[in-house]
Amino acid sequence: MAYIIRPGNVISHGRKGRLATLEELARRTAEGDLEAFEGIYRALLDPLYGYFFWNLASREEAEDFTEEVFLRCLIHIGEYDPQKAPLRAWVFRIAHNLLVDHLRRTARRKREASTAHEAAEQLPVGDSLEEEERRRAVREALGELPSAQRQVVIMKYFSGMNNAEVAAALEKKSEGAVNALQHRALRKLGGILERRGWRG
Amino acid sequence: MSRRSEERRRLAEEFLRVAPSPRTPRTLREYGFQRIVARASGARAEERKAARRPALLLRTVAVLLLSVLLLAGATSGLYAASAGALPSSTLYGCKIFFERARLAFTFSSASEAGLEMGYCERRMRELREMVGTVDSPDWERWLREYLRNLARAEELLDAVSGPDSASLSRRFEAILEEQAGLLEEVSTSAPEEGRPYLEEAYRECRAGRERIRRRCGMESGPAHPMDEQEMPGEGKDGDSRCGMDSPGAGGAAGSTGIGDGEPASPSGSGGEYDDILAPPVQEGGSTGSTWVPEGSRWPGEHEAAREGENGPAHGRHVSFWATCTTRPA
Repeated sequence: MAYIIRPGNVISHGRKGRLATLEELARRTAEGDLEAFEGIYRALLDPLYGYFFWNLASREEAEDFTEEVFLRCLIHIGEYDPQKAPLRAWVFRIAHNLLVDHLRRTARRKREASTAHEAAEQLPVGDSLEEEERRRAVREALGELPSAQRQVVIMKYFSGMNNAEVAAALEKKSEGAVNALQHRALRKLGGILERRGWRG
Repeated sequence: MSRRSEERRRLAEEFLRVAPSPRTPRTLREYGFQRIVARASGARAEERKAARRPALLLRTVAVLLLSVLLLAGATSGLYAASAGALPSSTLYGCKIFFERARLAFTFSSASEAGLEMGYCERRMRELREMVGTVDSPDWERWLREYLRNLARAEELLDAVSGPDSASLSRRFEAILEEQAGLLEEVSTSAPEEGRPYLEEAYRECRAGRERIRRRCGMESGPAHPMDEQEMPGEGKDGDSRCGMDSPGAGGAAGSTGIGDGEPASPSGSGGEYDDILAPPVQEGGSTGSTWVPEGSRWPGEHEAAREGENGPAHGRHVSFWATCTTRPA
């Protein structure tokens, strides 16, 4: 069973490798087709996991939150309206709300203190120490960005979303606003990297 | 400045491009979907259950409402069931309880007095039933309640002022008069063990009536052997509020009623009890009035005595008043 993400969010799903958009799969899921939901799951698993991974810096938390988002997505799929937003944006809005709630509950300083310790301890099999060090550097650099800029950067560069999807996922932000946020974020991130002596 | 910004932007983009992507855990990749589906079906079942189950607030309100309805139903059922209870019945206590509860929720002395009078009349209805139907009536309990109702009604009348006072007094006086007659009537058919209680009830009834009359300056009723006894809470000289001593009661002070001594004769003529004091009219024009010393006779005995001497008595108040209070001309 192969799941291939194709341009325009058209994916191949099911045993026969049928082509469908995520929105079409959502409609079928709402009608009770779990195979269609599996297509959504396979298409959005990595982007969602990446989103939580870079935001939370904890593999376990990222895993739990990813599962929770898919669960909510499956339960509330009937409420999804493709006229209002692409499915990817809808799913990421769920993810973003979940993350914001979590961050509100958790003391940020405590979380940051535990990050390095946790990352060093939870090195997954197959990941080199160098890769993990680089990830930590990315997380630390992202951690210095304002929250809105960090969200835009993570969604665009690590979850493969376009401006329209990011705008819809973050709510009340136009594509232009997302673009501006992205530029400001990149300039600031460049400054941070310069200060840290990163030369590419 | 712009060039520097552009350099920074490129540096950042490069940095993000080479950032190593995290590997999605195998557990999520292989088992995540099944786990999510299982959790979703559980959550849906919970949701369905929750949808079927009314909200906590709604349930609380429903339970409270139901409890209130049940309590109201049980109370009204008990009220209805105890309405006809007699003193020998276990429900009689409930009946008395409801009477007192109603009094407790009555806040005007006039209304309370009216209620107590109504309860006095209720005691009389009970008495009729006790004599007619109950095998072993609880005379003591009946008397206790009756006396309590009488005393309380009289007490409440004291607290009433204005026009209500006069009308209530008149009403109470009428009730007591009627009840005295009823007690007299019932006593004839009452069993032996009940007579002392009826006697006491009668005495109190008469005494109460006299006190009411004196208080309001009404003309006193005829003297009666029972009236001559010293009334509870009453001095020998009477204590008329209106300054009018009752000739019947005052004149007969010291003498005893049933069972001991000479009865006082009715004072004056033209009293409202003349009709019942007069000897029964017998066939052939004779009044048949034979003085029977009262001695220890109780109404029924007097009547029996009269019937034995003069044949069956006629008329409403033939036996009791006539035999107890009239003297031979």
